[in-house]
Amino acid sequence: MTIPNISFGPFDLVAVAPYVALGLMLATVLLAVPVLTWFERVTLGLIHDRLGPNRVGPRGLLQPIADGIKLFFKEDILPSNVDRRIFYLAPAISMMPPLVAAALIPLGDFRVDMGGGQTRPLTLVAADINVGILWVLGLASLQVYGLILGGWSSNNKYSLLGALRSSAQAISYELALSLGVLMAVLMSHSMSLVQIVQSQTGGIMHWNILGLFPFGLVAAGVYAIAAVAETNRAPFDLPEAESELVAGYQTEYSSMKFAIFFMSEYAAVVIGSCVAVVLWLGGWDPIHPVLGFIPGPLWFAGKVLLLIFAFVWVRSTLPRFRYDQLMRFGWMRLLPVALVALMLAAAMSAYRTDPSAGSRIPPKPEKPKPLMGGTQSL
Amino acid sequence: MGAPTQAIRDLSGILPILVLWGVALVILLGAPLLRRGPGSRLAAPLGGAGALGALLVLLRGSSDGFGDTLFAGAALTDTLYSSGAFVLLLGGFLSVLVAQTYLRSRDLEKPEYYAIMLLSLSGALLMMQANDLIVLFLGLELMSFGLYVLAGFARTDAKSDEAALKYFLLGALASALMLYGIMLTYGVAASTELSNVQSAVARGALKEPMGIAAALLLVIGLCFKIAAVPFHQWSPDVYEGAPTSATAFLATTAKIGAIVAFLRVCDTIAGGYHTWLPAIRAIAILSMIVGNLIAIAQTNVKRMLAYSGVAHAGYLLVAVACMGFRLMGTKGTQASILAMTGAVFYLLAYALALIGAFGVLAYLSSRDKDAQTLNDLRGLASSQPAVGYAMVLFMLSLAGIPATAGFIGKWQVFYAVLTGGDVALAVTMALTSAMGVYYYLRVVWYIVFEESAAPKPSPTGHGVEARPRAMTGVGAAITICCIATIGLGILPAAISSFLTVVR
Amino acid sequence: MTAHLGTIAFVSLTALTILPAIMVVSTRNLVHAGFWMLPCLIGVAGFYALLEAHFFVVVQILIYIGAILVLIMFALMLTRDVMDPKERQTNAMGVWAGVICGLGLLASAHMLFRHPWVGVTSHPGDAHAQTVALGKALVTRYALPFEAASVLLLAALIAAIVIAKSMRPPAASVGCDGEVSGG
Repeated sequence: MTIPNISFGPFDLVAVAPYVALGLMLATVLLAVPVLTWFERVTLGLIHDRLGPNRVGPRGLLQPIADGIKLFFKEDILPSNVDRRIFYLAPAISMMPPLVAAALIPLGDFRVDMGGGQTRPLTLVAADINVGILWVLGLASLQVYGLILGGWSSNNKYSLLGALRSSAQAISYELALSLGVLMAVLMSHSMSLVQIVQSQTGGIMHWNILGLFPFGLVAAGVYAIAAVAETNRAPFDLPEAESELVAGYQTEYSSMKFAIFFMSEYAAVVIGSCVAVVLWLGGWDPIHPVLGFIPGPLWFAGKVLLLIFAFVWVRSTLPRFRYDQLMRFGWMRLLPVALVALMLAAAMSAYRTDPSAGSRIPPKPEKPKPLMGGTQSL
Repeated sequence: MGAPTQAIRDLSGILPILVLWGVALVILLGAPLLRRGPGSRLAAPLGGAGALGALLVLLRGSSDGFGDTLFAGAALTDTLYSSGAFVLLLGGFLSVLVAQTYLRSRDLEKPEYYAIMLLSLSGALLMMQANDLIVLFLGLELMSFGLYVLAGFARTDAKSDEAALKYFLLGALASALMLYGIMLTYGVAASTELSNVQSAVARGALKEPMGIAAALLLVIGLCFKIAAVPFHQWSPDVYEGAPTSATAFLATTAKIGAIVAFLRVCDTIAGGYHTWLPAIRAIAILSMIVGNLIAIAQTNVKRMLAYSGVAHAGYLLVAVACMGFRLMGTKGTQASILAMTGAVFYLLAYALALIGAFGVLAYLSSRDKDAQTLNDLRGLASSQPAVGYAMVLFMLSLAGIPATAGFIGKWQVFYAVLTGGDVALAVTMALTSAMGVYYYLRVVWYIVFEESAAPKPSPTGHGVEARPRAMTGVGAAITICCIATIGLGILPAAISSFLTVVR
Repeated sequence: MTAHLGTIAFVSLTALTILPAIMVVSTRNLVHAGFWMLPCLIGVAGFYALLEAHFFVVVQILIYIGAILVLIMFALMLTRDVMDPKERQTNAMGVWAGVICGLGLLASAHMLFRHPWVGVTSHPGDAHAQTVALGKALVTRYALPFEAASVLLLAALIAAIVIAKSMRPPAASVGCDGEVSGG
């Protein structure tokens, strides 16, 4: 889609685009809580065949604001014997990874009319890092620190158990998550989120979820399960399992500190859905090229919403795992499936690739260089 | 392209390692079946098959690829590797035989023991094949990890736990020092590949403070593994605490792997001998004197063999020191080659005698009695003559009495160092060897001339009832060690086709 | 100017790495020690960034911070009452060890400053080329060390299990191995 190069004072659209992308993503992540709590409760109501929020405002739309005001004015209790510094730090740390990851999500792809009949491509993304997907994985793995720190510093046995569970769960499912991501990398021949999306251009038949059929589907499934586990959402919400651990790692948290934990969970859900859309559902690519008149970011937002709905759907239908079931499922089902699928997919991809198509990879250097590239002057 | 053939050449170069890894994985995967029930009898044969299979693969491997580097310079195959690997794998096989009986009689047998053993052997092989300090370090660690665990395998025994912990902590320290040395080597040579290190040394890298530090740290790391003197403190406790079969294995494997790697490293940095040769000579002399002196005071045979191991590390370091003579004229070159061949033969003789000796101790052990002290050997020649005289033979070989393999090994190293013209080392070696005879002969005295302490073999003790065990692994190991020790002592040339190191 | 920026970055990264590292070894609370490793490891990632080794930055965060440190924390949280924060951390030899280590540090520093370092003027290439080169190296020149490292980890894993697995009395070990048969 070609758009005119609008200028904003001394800056043109090309210069502003990264900031626009960052602003959009940050706004999405930060506003996720009010919107998504409402969305989740309404959806749950729908699925459970009950009313859901309907008191505050039309269709309960103002409910999140009421909740926010309530949390904001609640007393901020600092229990005695908590590890004060870490106790304060934990919610902040849990909020950081999704905010940073927001900068990596590409939202759309345009051609900008530079005037004089020239156009140039413009991707709506704050930072296109060529190992971006690894950054996302790394940040996802940092998410768990908020839970661990919060749980441990609370000096409460339920919190500690929640922290223990969350760390074990994070380690167990990160492997499967990475393997799922690796399969997308295998199909798209890149680790850059932008290039991964661009490699899927051309409608649903080109999306990675249907690539290397059926392994794309398997990998997307593995990714989806592991992503739900990574965000500690039901049915993997063992760290806060309210029926066993009061509220798990957040038992001792109140007021805004609790709200930040709450926000970070929803932010993680948003980021997880965005990454899934990028990896498997073609990012901003329309479902069929015919529908290309709808702007890419709208497609992107629509797909993300669909996945968030799936998050809620899963939560409302599946019971929580027991801890040993969780471990056994992660290590003895999900991981072997992911590994075998990855190996088969790699074989299939190698079989399908004709030698001429392999030229994407630069020719082999004559002599391998030492890893660190020689001595470095201080 | 030629890439596939290169890959096949690379892989066939490390075939023994691959065999060890494969069998180890089979044992680990089959562990649930091998743990108890009828399958438990299969664990040791599998382990033995792994070591033997690697040995056969090694012997069958054609020698036309010798001197080649594999994996674009990460590893190599040469005669030093192949002869060292022969000794190592033979020792590994014999250790499996010892372990089979000993672990069973002490109720310690688990299939993982053999898997860890094979992985450890593969680490030692990797060390010998390393053409890159990174590979050398990884091999060293792979070998050591296995040894740490085997030392602590008797988990109900506090001494075994102590041995494992001590070995691990000091080993980790030594590894860290060695890694620091490798890092500094990279600093001076801008590469960790041995050929590049060699050319850096030729450019005078060992005259710089950083080069000197690098060389010394590497020497310290390897000296720890062979238990040379300032770095030997761990060895008596580890030898004593570890289960006897594990002691036999770790004593030989660590020494063979580390000495061969030591020979290679010192051969590489021979150009800068003025830096490291004094250090090695000092360590060698100290090891020979201190090891032999302290061994005299020991009444526990395992501790005595630990200190004797320190002394043997000293003798072997004499051979390592000869590497420094390589660039000192033709005599020096000749000495270095003689020393390499001699060291490998020495290692073979040492492994045979040591595994044999620990095998005898293992043979005498039962579920509730672990034979360790001189008293346990009292009167063995009359109560169980075959085992008793076998032990006598191993002691004579360790002492270096003529007509045993130990003598030939010691003579070769001695001859090499004399060729190199280092009289001080040669004299120390001769004198301390004479000193060592005392405590080896004391064991012989206990076996042959002392009366058995126990009135007559009781049903629980070692005696007539224990005889059928001779048919099991340890009996076979002792028999092989005996035959080989005498055979090599009389006909050393029989094995020279495997063991001669050519340049 | 850029040289100055580089120096500033280097110094601050050094502080970010070394000060938490000192806290790791000196703090009395074991779990705090674990937490202090977090900035320390991030500092190391920063060094990689300074060296323009982009791939390693991410891998450092992903592996060390995301996996290994979480695992360490998991283990440490189980030891809550094992370590007494009031326990003395030094023994009689502490002073001498400090003197020896201090001398070693001085000697190392002297050695490193005296060394005629060869400065590298060329940049290590863009991140894509680096990643490709690294991938190639791992399956050619470094295939053997790479595999050996995997086997090393496997050996360590098996070893740890063998050492740490709970010992059952022989009579109770008739069935299969615990929970596997229970499911």
